[in-house]
Amino acid sequence: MGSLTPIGQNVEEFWNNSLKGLSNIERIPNQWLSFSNFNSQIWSTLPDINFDETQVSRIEQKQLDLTSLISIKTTFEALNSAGLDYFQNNQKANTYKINGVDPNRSGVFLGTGVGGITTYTSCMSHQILSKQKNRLESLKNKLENKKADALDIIEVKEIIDKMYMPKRYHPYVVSMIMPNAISSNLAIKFHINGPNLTYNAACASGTIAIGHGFKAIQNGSLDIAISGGVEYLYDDFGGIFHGFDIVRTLSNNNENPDEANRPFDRDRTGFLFSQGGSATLILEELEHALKRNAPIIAEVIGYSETCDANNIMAIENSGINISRMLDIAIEDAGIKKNQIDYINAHGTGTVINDEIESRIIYDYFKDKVLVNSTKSLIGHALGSSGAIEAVITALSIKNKTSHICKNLVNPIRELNFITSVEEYPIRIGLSQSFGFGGHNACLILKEYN
Amino acid sequence: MGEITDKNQIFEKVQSIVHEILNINKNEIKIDSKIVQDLGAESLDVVTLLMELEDHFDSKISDEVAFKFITINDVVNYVAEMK
Repeated sequence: MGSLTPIGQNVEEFWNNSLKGLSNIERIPNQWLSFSNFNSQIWSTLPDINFDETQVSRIEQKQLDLTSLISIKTTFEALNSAGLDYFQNNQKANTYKINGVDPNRSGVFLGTGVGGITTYTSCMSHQILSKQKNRLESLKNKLENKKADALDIIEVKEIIDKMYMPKRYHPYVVSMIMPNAISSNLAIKFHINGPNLTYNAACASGTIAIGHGFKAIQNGSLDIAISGGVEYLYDDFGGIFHGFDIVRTLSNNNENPDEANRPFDRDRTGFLFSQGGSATLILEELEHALKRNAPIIAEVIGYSETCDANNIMAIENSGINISRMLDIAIEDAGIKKNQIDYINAHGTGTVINDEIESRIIYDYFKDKVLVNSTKSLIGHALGSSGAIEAVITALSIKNKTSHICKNLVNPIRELNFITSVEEYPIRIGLSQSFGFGGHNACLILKEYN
Repeated sequence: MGEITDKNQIFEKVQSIVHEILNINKNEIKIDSKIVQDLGAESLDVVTLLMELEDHFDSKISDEVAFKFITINDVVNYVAEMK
């Protein structure tokens, strides 16, 4: 597995920091405040992204959107941790082949909510502003030559200074913004000739991508599925953030940033917007893995997906299609529901999600199953979140412990929320995700003996 | 003499940029090398060359110009005049 999150450059750092209950919350960039009156003014930021141990050249860093770059980074980490060696097969293209893996029986299954939106917004800024900015520069010069009112000149200058745009309209824009660029770049980088699919189901994208990778292995089509999710959500004007803020989905306790994000707590106010993240999981057919003595972290045993077909932005109140999702996944896994020891909840921290999700968990599992929300630590990075939470679920099973549900002081329901890091008998875990559009998906993972 | 030295410096810089983009040995990149036919550049490599030249020489180069570059010498001459 490989990951990049606000609290870790890699899986080891992420896991250790999750057990410490760490977060990385900052004020939104000052420059955004010139463009909107934001209700929420905090977000969860990524560390400086380090490509040092990743075979990505300086030139590639100019040619690819950050979603592709960080997905490549977490995939290198995942291959390393899976004990899969690779060698450079094309020096010019800087691409690799994975040893002992049939490229035709390998696939890429990648989830993203919005793909290369950062490149899109920066190119649109250039498209809209470049000529107008030049005109304003000319106007400012004219005003200066005419010795116009100094305050007028300063005002024009301030407007110019806030017309943020990149130096150029990026010539690679099309290949950077198409959502399928990420999975295609992974296939190119690692010479994978099997199915190459991009799953776009909002906040359930990562979970659905892993689920479909699992199904391709389960039905015998593939030996290896590179699966996961990625998101990167920055623009110079705060426009992406504004989209979630304007519908009041974001946490707005701006005075107490460290306590603002509190899934399943009575005083929750919304989710903590995350700058982004990525996780890659190498799924492998069991015999194939055993033959090469692969270090197996956990076994995927069940998957299902349903759709509310009800509301484009809100989870359906009765939860009937989430319960049905659980029924199908549990049947797929060949287990009974009381065998599930741990649930990594969608747990966004919005009033409506947590109310309905906690009711469904209680009605379906009662109050014994352990529950936590990884978003309580790192916030919500849309399409990458399901994959990041699958990483936590796998490690919680392997290490028989998990992180706390941070800031949970007054739980909204009598569930067995994890509030202290201790040893837990977790053999089977379930990770569930729900997305705008009514997408529901869950994975069931089991310890491997 | 000064101009030749300057052009030599530009050539060395262009050689270094093309080497990094195409991942080929510097000694294969000669002043009269044809960028596409001899060095194997594809159209996207030429676009990358344009971006790199702009960044290294801190200037704006139009796309039309970049696609008229045939040899390394064309690039060197363009940069020399630009400066």
